[in-house]
Amino acid sequence: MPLVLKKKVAVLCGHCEIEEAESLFNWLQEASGRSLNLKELTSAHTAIYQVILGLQPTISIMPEDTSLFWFKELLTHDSKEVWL
Amino acid sequence: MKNIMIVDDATTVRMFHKGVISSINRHIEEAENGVEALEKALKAPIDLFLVDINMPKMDGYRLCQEIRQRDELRSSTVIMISTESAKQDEERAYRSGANFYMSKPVDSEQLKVLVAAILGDAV
Amino acid sequence: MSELLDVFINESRENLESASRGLLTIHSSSSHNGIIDGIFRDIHTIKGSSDLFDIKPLTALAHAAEDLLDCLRASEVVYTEEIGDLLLEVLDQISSWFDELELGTENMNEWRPVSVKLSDSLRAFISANNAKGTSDEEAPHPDSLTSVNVIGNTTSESSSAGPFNSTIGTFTSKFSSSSAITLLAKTQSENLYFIDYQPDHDCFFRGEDPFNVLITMPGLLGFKAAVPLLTSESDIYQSALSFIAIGEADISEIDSHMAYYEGQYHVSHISRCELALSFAAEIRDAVEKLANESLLIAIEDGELEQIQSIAEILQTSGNHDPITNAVLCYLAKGNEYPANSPQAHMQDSLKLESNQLTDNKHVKSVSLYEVELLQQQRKLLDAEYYNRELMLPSLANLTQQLLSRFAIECDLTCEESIRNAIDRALSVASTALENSQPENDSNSINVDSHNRHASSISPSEEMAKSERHVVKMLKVDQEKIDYLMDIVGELAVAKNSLPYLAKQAEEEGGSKVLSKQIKSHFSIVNRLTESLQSAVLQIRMVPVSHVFERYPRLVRDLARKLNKKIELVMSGEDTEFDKNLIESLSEPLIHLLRNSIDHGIELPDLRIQQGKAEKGRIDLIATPLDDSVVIEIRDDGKGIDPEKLKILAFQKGIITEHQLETINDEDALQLIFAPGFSTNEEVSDLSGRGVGMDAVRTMVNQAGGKIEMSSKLGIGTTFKLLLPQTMSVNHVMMFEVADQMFGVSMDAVVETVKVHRSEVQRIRNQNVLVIRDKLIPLCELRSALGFENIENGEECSILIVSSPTGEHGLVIDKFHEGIDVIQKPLEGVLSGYSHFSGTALLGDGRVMLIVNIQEILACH
Repeated sequence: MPLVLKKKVAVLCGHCEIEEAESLFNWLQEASGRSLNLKELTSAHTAIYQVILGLQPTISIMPEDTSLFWFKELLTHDSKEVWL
Repeated sequence: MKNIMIVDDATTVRMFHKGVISSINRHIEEAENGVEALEKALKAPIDLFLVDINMPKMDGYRLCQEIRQRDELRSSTVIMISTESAKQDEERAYRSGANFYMSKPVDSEQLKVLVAAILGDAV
Repeated sequence: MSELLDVFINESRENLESASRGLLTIHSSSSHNGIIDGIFRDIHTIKGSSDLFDIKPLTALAHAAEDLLDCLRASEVVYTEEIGDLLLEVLDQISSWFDELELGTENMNEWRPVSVKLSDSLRAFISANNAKGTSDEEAPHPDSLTSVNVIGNTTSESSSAGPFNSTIGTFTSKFSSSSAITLLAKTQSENLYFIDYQPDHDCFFRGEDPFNVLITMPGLLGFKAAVPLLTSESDIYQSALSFIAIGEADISEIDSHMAYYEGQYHVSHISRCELALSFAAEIRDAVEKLANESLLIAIEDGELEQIQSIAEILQTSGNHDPITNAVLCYLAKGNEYPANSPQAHMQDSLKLESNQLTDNKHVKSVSLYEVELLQQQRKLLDAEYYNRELMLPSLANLTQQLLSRFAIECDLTCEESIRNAIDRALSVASTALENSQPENDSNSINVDSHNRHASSISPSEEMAKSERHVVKMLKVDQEKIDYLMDIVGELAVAKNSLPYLAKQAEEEGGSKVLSKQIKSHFSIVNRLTESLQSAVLQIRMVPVSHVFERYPRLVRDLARKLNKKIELVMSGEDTEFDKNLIESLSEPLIHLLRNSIDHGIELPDLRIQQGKAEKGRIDLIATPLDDSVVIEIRDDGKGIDPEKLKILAFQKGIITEHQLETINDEDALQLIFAPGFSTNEEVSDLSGRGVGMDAVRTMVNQAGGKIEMSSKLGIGTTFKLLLPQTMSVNHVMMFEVADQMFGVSMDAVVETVKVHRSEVQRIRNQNVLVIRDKLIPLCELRSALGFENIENGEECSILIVSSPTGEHGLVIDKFHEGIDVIQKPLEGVLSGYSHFSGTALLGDGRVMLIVNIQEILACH
């Protein structure tokens, strides 16, 4: 499953589609202190990125996939400027 | 001898622009607002107007329209200078009859060269 | 200080004053809007003009104030006194920055944090009101960008911003300088693009995936994303994103990549060498700031490899700011250090080989600006709002001018032919561009509007002597008027020798005719000189409002500090006064005002108890009277208690016990002018500091005026000052004491006598002289003026003068003649010396001190 929602952590795996965006969004709103495990994430629909960047939740583990280097940059820096 | 009219309500800005484009074969007139500009412009044919948009009494757009209404001025070149750089301002400037639009602050070198290009006299 | 800066500061100070006045009147009037608009204009002007100089913190602060004022006049923000106070504070700050600029002591590093702090405070008022959220449908995207025609390339949705908002300008305003330099470091390609991509809100429903479109952009080097923060209300299926990106690729590649997204993006070409030129100065600055010896040497020697390795090392060591980092990266990659080329900013021309032009083998220099202009005129012809009547004449005229340089003829009455002619000219120009190689020095356009600061102060230096246009008013340097006054003064003295010369001509030269001629010409010269004198004096007259206008602020601030409510009502502000004397007027007034506020007006509660209005009132009235001005300061405060005064005066030993019993209320009140007197036990730190009424009176007397006071307990106090309006021409009698020339007002001189020593008598420890049964007390001026007493000769020269205390005799060394002088009050350090009422310039350049009889006598 691309998106697994546990009690305190949500795990994103492989490719996440637009359909998961709503669940992720709601889940993050339900309680505070929830974090995201992006270790196995390889790609996602813009809507997913938008939710994550828009809610700015705690990221427990950053994506390791090199193709998501840019996303990692966006997550870690304040100025949303990325150099490849 | 080319005649240029600088219209801006700030003395400092007029002085700055005048200094940039001053030259031996150019005569430069200044005006603080549109009304004064029109009065002075009627005395001698003006080749180029540098018009600030934001002015009291008569703003740059109005002035430009007035210039275009007058036989002796309608073929003068008008450069409109604005403190904003919004698209709407630019289009409005052209609609009012401007030939060119620039936004402040104006780079002195660019202004110099632009005016030289328009007047065709040596820089 | 450059002339332009001068003009800027003077003009801006006027704007500041006008804005301050506006802010102060807002309180008393209920309709704000006209006033706020005026204040907005003042600040707007300051902001605009300040931008011509490299004083960004000031410009930024003015900008913040302008934004707030804009919201105020649009009624988006409600005016409160708090806002008014903040604005006044900002105006004060800007004013003190002007002071620094005048002295050349400005320091941007100090200004910056102050500017930031105040700007934030100002903007806080704006966002407080915007908390309800204005356009929340609008995604916060980088400001609307438009792609621009750099010569030769048209974009798919092109609509140019003005030519000087080039792609580079836009690029750097969205990215930062360090980004630009990083870009230069990352790529050597000339084929750079800049894209602004703003996906539609409902693009998801069309199956679009913007982020992935972005990431897969051909040749992508870097991007910036605007991602709004989400709230629980947000619709996550709406795209609220926008991007700007740069990369290396052909525009055509981008267009194909973005084929499905037409209308959501703009792309344009960036010339790398243009970019490099634009940031040449910044790169140089960063290197200079680093101040690394070895790097600088390597640069000077032009050792590319050295530069590279040093830059690499520096990059890894040390913490640098983003720009420096970017610059080091740039250098480390082996990029060329931009040399300081004065040509870099100049107009660049292309040599065109034109066989397409009507004249054979014409080599023309065509400015790229001419091309821009032509393109713009062309666009106007095609604009949807094109109006033949409004636009054709100027368009045709300008086009004709420009085309003549391309030696292209065209029929200017027909839009079609104008279009064709322009197109021909443009194709000639662009061919030439394509053929030319991009080199650093020539052929590049510096269209960057950001690279200003190098040239910001230099225009004034480049400026030729501009003939200033006299409109209705003439702004003249005060120094010039002072100089004029001095010369007129000298002329007045010089003309006085003519009668003497006439006499000489008659007696020694034996020419009566000549003597007569001189005398008649003298009367002409005399008349003219006198007219000249009074004309120049008139020039120096300024309305008292110059001085008065500071007072409302002063009163407001002081009243606030003391928790009192006070209103200052002024009238007669256009009464005129000599500019030099006006300062001498201001000082006593300020003290009197302070006294009224501090000791006169009671606290609001107390006033109400007494049945007075809560707000105290101070009237400041100026009225002309002959050639003097009467200034009245009236307050409706608690008045002065003669009883208290009497007792205090007695305690301080100013009056005797007997006087204490007998003195009446009227005279008791006048005690306030006695030296060393202060009616308030605790010297308030506002008006205290030892400035008593006697100091005020001295100031007034020094200026040649008089001061009176009347007061009624519980009702209020009124001070009346009578001051001479101009520095009039005074007729003074010169005399000598200890080899120095002094003068005394001729009005005071009764007579001059020379008597034998023996005639001086001594009565009750004082030298006196008896003349025609009058007893004249004498005063040895030598010692009175602080000179050594020498053994007098047989004879005494005595100047008999009249004073409020009767006639006195001043013992001097030598008499001299009477002359007309223009008396200047003492300034600065000397103004404390009450013995003298002023100075005058003699014909030979000497300065003569004019004696204040009352004071001299009082001290003896």
